[in-house]
Amino acid sequence: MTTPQDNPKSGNVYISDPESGAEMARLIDQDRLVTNGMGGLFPERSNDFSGIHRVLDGACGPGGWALEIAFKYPEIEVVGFDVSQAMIDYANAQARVQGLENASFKVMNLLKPLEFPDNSFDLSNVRFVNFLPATTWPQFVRELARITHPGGFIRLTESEWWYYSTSPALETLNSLVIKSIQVQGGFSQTGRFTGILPLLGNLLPQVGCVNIKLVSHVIDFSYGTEAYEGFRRDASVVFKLFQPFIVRMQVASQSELDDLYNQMILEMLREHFHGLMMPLTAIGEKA
Amino acid sequence: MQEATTWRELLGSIIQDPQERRRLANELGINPVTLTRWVNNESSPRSQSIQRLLNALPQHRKALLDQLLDEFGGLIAETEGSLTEDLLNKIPSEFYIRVLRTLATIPQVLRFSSLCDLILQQALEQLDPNRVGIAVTVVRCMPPSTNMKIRSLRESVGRGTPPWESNLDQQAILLGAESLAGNVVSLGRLVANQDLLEEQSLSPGYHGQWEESAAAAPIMLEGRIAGCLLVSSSQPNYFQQSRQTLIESYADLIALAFETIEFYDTRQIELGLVPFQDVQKLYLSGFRQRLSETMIQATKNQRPLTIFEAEQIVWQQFEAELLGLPQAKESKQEMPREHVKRSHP
Repeated sequence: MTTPQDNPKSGNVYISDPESGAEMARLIDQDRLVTNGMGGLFPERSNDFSGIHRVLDGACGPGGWALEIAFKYPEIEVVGFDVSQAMIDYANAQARVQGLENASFKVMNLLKPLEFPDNSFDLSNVRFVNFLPATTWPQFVRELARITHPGGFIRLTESEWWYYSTSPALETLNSLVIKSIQVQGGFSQTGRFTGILPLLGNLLPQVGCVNIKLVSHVIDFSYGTEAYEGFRRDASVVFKLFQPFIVRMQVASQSELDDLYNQMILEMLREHFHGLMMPLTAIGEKA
Repeated sequence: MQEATTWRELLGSIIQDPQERRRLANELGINPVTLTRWVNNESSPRSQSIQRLLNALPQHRKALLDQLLDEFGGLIAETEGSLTEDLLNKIPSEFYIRVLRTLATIPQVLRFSSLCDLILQQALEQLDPNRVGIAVTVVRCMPPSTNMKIRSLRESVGRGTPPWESNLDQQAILLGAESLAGNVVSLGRLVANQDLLEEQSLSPGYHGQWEESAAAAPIMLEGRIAGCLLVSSSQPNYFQQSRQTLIESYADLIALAFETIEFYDTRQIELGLVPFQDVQKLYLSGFRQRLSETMIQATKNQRPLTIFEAEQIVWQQFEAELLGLPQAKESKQEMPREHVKRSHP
């Protein structure tokens, strides 16, 4: 996940400091974990990129998904954008050291008109931006539709993050982040869920997409699974880096967070720890 | 077989083997038909593909490069030159800025893990742009145990490209004097072993799973040492001079992840021999359980530990048991003696 803003008007859409290398390292790891867990780069189409020549990755963070496509499919041109200059500098440096001439990255804000001509891409992908204010979604999905070629795909992926686990502390910390996002105007009605999942598929027909599909994925990060160590590490970083945001939103005090954090570390170490991440993808074709 | 006079002929002979043809196409990220088109002179590779081709065929690299130069001249020289100069030798300046910025802002509890993570991810991409398979691991000195001597090292944060797993943290073991890492920490300089399968080699190190060659550089500050950066490759002879230079640069950068007190006087290094990986795995299978118990007990005693502090304590217990150190006697588990054999003379 790349994260919500203190002030929706500022254009800064990160919960934690987007210029922070810790957040960047976390996002790179998370990107790999989630892509693997979901079954590849484009699992809704059995990872088949035939007929796709230009791909966009919006709010791409350090560019993991986009770079992976560029590496595996040298004939595809991949463009990524993110609001963070640091993320974009990093992604461009990665493309350079890997000799990926078919990947490029630009600083751009998903909440503003996108600087691409109409019908530019065959696949426009955005994932894990459920922190964005609810009011901004229709506008940016409309922009994605504008820049996607007729017959091309728009792909949106979201999740409830760490919601499904046997760790009470992890569940509580996750809910505190969601409550903080609610304070800022997220989709959530109650502060229990991010609220975006039921609406995800509904956004696409509104911008002229057809053949809408909803595809759910399950990533098991229970103790002993392949994903366990990565998710355990991710949780230990996420819920440390996000603490200042939760405190600022006055959803919990620092001492409450410190206790929950230590409890979460312990609970995730136990052999009977179980956890699932369940991303949902909505994909549609532009008519 | 008649010697090939062009790179296309040479490639043609290589891809006569269907398995090799598939492997090459896979590594270059192209359709196998494209390889045939190159061989038949129906099309030519882009500079990116040329570089990947050279890296995918290290045993033919020199011959291929000479013949490619004949056909493409400047393009190849430019590709090779720029790769050698900018991509192979140097860490991008953007990345130094990112690491220093992170160091300035990161919560103390995340300093080691997040900085290592950030740096290892970058090292992985730069040392293995074609993903032939490497593992990069930060190996740190165990704190001094008896007589203020450092008796072993432990693998800490690790990242890999296939065939290794992407996260190697759970594979961590202790390393001793018998290992390449141990040799590097004892000497305080980079050491490479270009062929770990060569039993007569004078270079230290032993063949781990998938590991054909390896290099390690010390992590140092003011002449003191905290451990080393260990890089393993699935290819023999992977560590050319440019890559060795890069590994040293990354080791220098990793030094920023350590606290000053974690750098030790080199005279304190007196590594012992640790049991082979299989034996260690038997001990370490209970690691998480013991870690959890240590943290719970510390909390009960009103002296809560961070996970990093608890890990250090549990590793010290394992070290004592594996090296047969005096303080281990009470808690030492029974282990059949025949299992305790060395992996390398």
